[in-house]
Amino acid sequence: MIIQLHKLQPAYLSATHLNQSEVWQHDLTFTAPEGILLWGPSGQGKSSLLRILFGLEGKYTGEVRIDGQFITSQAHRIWPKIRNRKLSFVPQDFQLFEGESGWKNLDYLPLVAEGIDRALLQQWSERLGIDSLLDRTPETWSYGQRQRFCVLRALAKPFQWIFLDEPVSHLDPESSRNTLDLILSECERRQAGWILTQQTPDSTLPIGRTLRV
Amino acid sequence: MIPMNTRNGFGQGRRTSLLPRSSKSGRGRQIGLALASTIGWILSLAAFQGFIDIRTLLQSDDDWFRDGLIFINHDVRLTDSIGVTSTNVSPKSLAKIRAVPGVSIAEPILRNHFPAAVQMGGGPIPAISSEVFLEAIPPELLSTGHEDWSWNPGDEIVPILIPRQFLNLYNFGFAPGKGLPPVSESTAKKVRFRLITYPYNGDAPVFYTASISGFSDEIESLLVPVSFLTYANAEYGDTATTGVGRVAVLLNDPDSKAFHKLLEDERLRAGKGTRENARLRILLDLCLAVLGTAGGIILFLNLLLFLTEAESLLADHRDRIRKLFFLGHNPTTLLRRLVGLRILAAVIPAIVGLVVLWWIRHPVATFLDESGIAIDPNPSPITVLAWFVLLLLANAWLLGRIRNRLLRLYR
Repeated sequence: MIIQLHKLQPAYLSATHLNQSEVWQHDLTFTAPEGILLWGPSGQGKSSLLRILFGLEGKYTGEVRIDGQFITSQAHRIWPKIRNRKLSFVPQDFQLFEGESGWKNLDYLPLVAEGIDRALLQQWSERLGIDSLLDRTPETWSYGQRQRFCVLRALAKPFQWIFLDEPVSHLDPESSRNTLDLILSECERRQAGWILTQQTPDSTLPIGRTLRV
Repeated sequence: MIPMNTRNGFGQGRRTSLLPRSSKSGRGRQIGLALASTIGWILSLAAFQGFIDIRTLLQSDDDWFRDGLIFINHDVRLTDSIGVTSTNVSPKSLAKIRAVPGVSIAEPILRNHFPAAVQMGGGPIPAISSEVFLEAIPPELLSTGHEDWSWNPGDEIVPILIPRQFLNLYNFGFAPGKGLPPVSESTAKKVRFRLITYPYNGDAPVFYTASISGFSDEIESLLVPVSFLTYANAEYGDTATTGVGRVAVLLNDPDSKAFHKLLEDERLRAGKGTRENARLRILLDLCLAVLGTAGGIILFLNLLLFLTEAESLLADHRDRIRKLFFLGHNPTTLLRRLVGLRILAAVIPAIVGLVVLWWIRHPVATFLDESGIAIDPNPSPITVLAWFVLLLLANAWLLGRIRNRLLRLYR
């Protein structure tokens, strides 16, 4: 699956920010399976880029194509298919259904990836260290637990690209490593690409490209 | 509850709803809405069907004359009876009638200037002979479809229009007294009979074959085409006979004050039938309009309540819907879930309304039939079509509004 960016520019970034960026106003092509690290200090538009690529943000100029298809027109027809089968997202605002247990939250996925069942999710949740909270509601979870649950939910659905918006920002180093290991192993198994954002370019991950946003 | 149709079922126990029912939409409220909707449908459909029934009854196939036709003549007084005054409508009076605003046509009614009789016999009709009085009105006063009601010299048959009362007198007076069977209108129309004219100059009577073209409640004499009566008067009539006895008037406003004042001033009297029919029609139309408007308003308010309810559900679940869109749920799926039960709640009262109309129409038709008014015991196809179109449009509008609101959340 190919994602193409053509002179993409969000409406609200200053010229200084745009000129420093290796993403904004550039022509880029991301082809799965590929690992991309987007880095930059806060306010440079890292989350905005992922939100644009996931169809949640519309205030930009330039073009985005997913598998050759423009994503700006007929949004309500295009995006359900793309979000259901091609993309997965771990957002910073979690998008959880408060008041409902972790398992119930997983029930809201319209489609799950082939081979994913309750036993496998239980196994992954143990690996992520959140197995004890799946029967509890998100109000009782910490930020770090919420992040890991979002990773679990993102992995449960089909995807060819997964967007990870600072997915381990609230985690300790060991939990971070476990979480990223699980993500990368699943991406490798599914031959999927990933785009991860963080504030620094340092990483021990097997990255294909590092781009400053 | 709107059931969730997930493909996973990781959560155990009670199934999760994508869009739980709004706290504002309790069962009592739903029942109230359904009842109001049903009443709205019944009122609207009954009014619409009533409108069609009245139109059908008042504008039957036998409606031979244009709307607003009135026959006028003088009131008969003692001085008329002893020959001091005349019952003829003078040319001056006729001119005054024509000058009244709202009178578009005022033409003398022709009458026979020779003795005439009809003679029937054979088939289901027993032998009867009677002197008759013939009249003819200008063809421009006949309703659409009857303009060609005419006779030409040499034509085999003289078409005649008969007061319906004549047939009633026969069926309910003459026939039972003689032990004869009653005759329907359609049978009577098939019978040929003799129209006998007795020339005023004493020549031998001339026989014509006549046939009943139709029946009317608005006339009091036998009506023949103007062409026949003009011809017969010229051939057999008393050339000295002059004067206009009756006038046919086409009056646009049946309640015209100027016209009725003129009648009073000129000692004229109008046949009540048409005027009363017009008034009755206006009154009935008004009643039905009130009934229909009430039903329409109830339906419209009901539709608005449905919309409000759907919108409150959307507002209550705005955040939830955005999250469902984030996870990849299709707006169409959510729309289906959102309006599915509401459409059902809108359609069931409509169906119940139509069924109730059907159900109550049979006893009403039987009751009216006993009173001599025949209506179809089933609702008219136009009513059913109107019901379907209204139902379709109302729900399409509702669906469109909810869809727009839902898609707005997608952006």
